[in-house]
Amino acid sequence: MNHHLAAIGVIASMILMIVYLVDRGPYSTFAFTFVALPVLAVCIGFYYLREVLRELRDRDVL
Amino acid sequence: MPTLAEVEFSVLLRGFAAAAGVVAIVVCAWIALTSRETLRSTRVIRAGYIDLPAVSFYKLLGLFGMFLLPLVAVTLASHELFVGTKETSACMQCHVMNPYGNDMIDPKSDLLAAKHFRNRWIHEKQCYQCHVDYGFGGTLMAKMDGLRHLLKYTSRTYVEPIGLVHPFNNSNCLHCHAGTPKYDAEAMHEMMADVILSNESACTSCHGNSHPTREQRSPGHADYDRLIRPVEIAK
Repeated sequence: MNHHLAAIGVIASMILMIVYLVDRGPYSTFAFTFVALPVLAVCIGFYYLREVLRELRDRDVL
Repeated sequence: MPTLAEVEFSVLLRGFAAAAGVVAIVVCAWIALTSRETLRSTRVIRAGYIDLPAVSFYKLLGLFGMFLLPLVAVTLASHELFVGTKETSACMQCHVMNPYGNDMIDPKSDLLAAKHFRNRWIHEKQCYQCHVDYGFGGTLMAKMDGLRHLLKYTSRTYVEPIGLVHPFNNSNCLHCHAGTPKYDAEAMHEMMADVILSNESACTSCHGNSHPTREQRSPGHADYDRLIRPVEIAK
């Protein structure tokens, strides 16, 4: 996963979150719970945290 | 009804979450539109009063835009998801709940839920207070049930009239009523204590239905059109 894809994933999940906060109906709740949160977890976990771990390894911190 | 301070706090949290989300979107759009070469370039970027190499600048930007801000935003939004869904108005978002809501606000209804709602015997979060078992396990089960309801409703895999999956737990009634002078004065409660505590007999067996009957909530019944119409409950 490259940084473009990860950033787009975070943008999409943030949009779904804002829609949920405004609407709070069943469909927006579903989208926030079952789409936005997993997408955000994947973007942060597979891209951001992996990059951080890689850098820490490169610097012999880990 | 929650106090004004509680309402404002909830609105404030939602506002903070949305603001954090908007800033995260802007920062992520910036990162998405930046090429990998630019992210790793050695040129110096002036950020306010300090000069940073581009690689450090974009790392900081990533830390805020792709990690900290989304984390703050979803934490606040998840708080709303956990707390906001306890409100009666949240239950009434799904139209299959309309028969219950319409009956509760009906001043002529003699059913238990309507009497509790009308007389404010339960001050707030009426659906949650009666239908969620007490203790940590009850809250956890309620959240799992909420997810199941959400999946069934959005996928349209439910069948009208809807009903309880698990038998209603008498301890939810006893939590408020047991030990009160009126409850203790009724000899039948003492005689049937074991039956009541073990859920062998429901409170509604003697005290009448809580909600409109299954037949009334079925499409085609004379009361269905009246009960299924949209309902407005403030909280």
